[in-house]
Amino acid sequence: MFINKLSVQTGLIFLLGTTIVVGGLSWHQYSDESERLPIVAQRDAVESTRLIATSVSNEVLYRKAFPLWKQMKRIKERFNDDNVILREFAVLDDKHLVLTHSDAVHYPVMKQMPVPADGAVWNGHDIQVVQSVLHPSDGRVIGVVILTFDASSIDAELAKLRQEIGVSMAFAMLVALLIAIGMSFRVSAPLQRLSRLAAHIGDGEVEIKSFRHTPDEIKALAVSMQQADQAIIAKNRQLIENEALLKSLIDNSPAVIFIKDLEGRYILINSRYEDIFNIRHEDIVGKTDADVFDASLAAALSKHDEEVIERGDAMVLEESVPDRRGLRHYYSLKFPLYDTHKKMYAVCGIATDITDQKASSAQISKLATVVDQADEIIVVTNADGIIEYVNPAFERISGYSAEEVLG
Amino acid sequence: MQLLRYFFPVLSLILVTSFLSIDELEAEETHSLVFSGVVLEQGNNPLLKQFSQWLAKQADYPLTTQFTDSYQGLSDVLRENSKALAWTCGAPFVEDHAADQQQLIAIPLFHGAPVYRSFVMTRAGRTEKTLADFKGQVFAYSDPRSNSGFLAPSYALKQQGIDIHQHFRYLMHTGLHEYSLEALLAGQADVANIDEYVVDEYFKANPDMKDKLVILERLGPFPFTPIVAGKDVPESTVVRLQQALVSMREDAQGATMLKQFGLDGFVVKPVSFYQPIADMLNAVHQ
Repeated sequence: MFINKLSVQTGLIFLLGTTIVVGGLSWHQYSDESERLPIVAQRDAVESTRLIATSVSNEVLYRKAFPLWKQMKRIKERFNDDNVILREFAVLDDKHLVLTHSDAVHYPVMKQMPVPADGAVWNGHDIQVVQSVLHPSDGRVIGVVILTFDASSIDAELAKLRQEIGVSMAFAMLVALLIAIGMSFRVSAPLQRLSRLAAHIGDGEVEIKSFRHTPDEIKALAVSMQQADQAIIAKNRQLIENEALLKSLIDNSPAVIFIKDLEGRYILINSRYEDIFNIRHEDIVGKTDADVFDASLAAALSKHDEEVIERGDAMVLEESVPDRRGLRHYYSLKFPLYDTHKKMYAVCGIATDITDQKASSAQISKLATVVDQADEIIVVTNADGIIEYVNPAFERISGYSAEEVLG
Repeated sequence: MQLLRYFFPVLSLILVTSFLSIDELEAEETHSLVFSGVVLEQGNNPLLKQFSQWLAKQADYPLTTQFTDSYQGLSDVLRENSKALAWTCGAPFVEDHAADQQQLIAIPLFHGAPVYRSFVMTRAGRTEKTLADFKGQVFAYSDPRSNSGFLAPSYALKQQGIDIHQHFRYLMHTGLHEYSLEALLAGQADVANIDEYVVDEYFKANPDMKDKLVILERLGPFPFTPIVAGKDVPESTVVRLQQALVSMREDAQGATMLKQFGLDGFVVKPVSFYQPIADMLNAVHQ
C-alpha cells in the first residue's frame, strides 16, 4: 500500500502538522482581519465624511452648486484611502435640495432628495455615511453630505489573505512532498536495500559499502547486519563442524542410532543402521517402523518409543530385531529429545548389538558349570603364579577354602 | 553772494536728478493686462503671457499678465489701477466705461468681423429646442456680467416676456465658459449660454465633444470682447496700443499669436460700437 510507505507517512505527518499549525494561525489571523477591516473601513469613511462636510460648508452656505461639484469631484478623484473608495457623493442644503450629486441624471441640482439620519449604514459592500454640514461660524445645520464608500477592498484584502494562506498551505505541501522524497531517498530506499540485504545474512554476502553515505542510523543498522552476518557465519561454521563431528561419531558408532519424531517417523539414522537394515538414510526419513519392519516387531518397537514419550525420561531395555544375519539382540538406550523451549519433539535410540556377548556369556556359564561340578582340582594362576581361581573340588580335596588361597 | 555762487549749480543738479528719477520710475513701472474668461485655459495659457509681453514691447508700455475670477474682479483692478489694461467682455465694458471711464482700445476680429454670438447649448439627446423650453431646469453661465453667458440669454428671454431668474430652477454660476460646458456634460446643468469664440476653441481642443453637445440657438451677433484701458492710460499710449494691435497680423510673432488665438486681427472702433449691448443692459434692467 502506498500509504504504508515510510516516506508517504512522514510527508503526511508533516503536512498534517503544518496544516494544523499554519491553518490554526491563518484562521486566527483571517478571523481577526474579518472583524477588523470593516471597523477600520467604517471609521475611515466616517472620518473622511466629517472632514469633507467641514471643507464644503462655505459652498453649502452660499449654495454654490458648481464650485461644490468641482470640489466634490476633485475630492472623489483624489480620495486616497487604503480601505475605502469614495464612489458616490451628494451634498444637500438645509431643505434637502440637491446642491450637487455625482449622479446628476437621477439626482438633479435643486431637486428634493430623501435624507437618512446621520450615521453610517452598510449596504452590501457599500458604506453610506450621512453627516450634517454645520454653519462655519454659528454651528447650525445648513446642509447634509451623503457619501457612499466602496468597501469591497475588504473582500479583496480577505481574498488576498486567503490566497496567502493557500500559498502557505501549498508551500507546506511542497515541503511535505520534498520531505517525503527526501525520506524516500535517504531512509526508505536504504531501508529497502537493508531489507533485501537481510535475506543474505548468514551467507557472508552482506556488503555495506553502498551505505557509506546514508544517515548514521541506517549506517549503524547496516554495520550491525554485517556483524550479525559474520557472527552467524562463525556460528554456522561451528555448527557445521559440530554437526560433522556428531555425524562422524554417530556414523562411526558400532551402535545403531536413530531419531524418530513423536509420531514415530524417522528423522535420522546412522550408517550402522543403514548397513544392518540395508536401507539408506534418505529412504527411511519420514517413514515409521511399520514401513520398515513387520507389524508385530514394529508394534513392539513403537510401544517402547511411546513409553519413553510417556515417561519423558530415558529408558534402557533390550530389544530383539531380526536382520539378514538372523535375530539380533540389542541393548537399547532410548531417551526423549527436547527443543530449546523444553518441548519434547523426538525420541532418540542408541542400540548396541549384544547378540555375541549374550552368546559368549552363555558359553562361559556352561564352562563355569563344568569347572564347578568337576571332581578334579582346577586352579587358575596368573603369569606370576598368583592363584586367581580355585574350583569347589579344590576346597573339598585340599581342605582350603577359596578365600584362603586366592591371591 | 557766496550763496548765489552755489545756487544755480545746486538747482541744476536737483532738476537733473528729478528728471532722471521720473524717467527711471516710468521705466520701472509696469501695468497689469487683466484677463477673465475671454479665452480658454485662463490660468495656464502661456499664450496670454506671450501676448502681454508682445504688446508691451510693441506699444512700449510695460505689462504683466494678471487673471481674475470674475469680470467684477477685472473691473475692480482697472478701477484701482487706472493705468492697467484688460481683455474684458462687452457688457462689463459698457458698464465700466460709464462708471469708471474705461477706454476702448481695440476689438478682435473673429471670422473677419469684430462680432460674435452667444450659443444656447445642451447635451446631445435632449428634447428641448430653445432656451425657453428649459423652464424649471438648471441654467449654467460663466459670469453674471458676461454678455454671451448671461446678458444675451437674459435679454433673449426678456424679449419673450420671461424673467431668467424665475424661468430656471437654478442659475448655476460656473466662473468660466468651459466650466459651463463641463457642467452640461456632467449633467449638473441642463442648458448654458456659451461664447461662440470659446465654443470654437473648445471644439478645436476637444473634437470628440462635438457629438456630445448640441447648439440649440445662436443669439447675436454682439460686439466682440474688447481690449480696454483704465481711465489714466495716456492717450499717446492708447494710440500706440491701437497701432500695435491693428498691425498685429503684419508682425510675424503677432500673426502667429493671432493664429493661436483663432482670431484674424484687431480693429479700432468707437465706444458707440457697443451700443447694442448697452441697449440690452437697459432692457434687461428695466
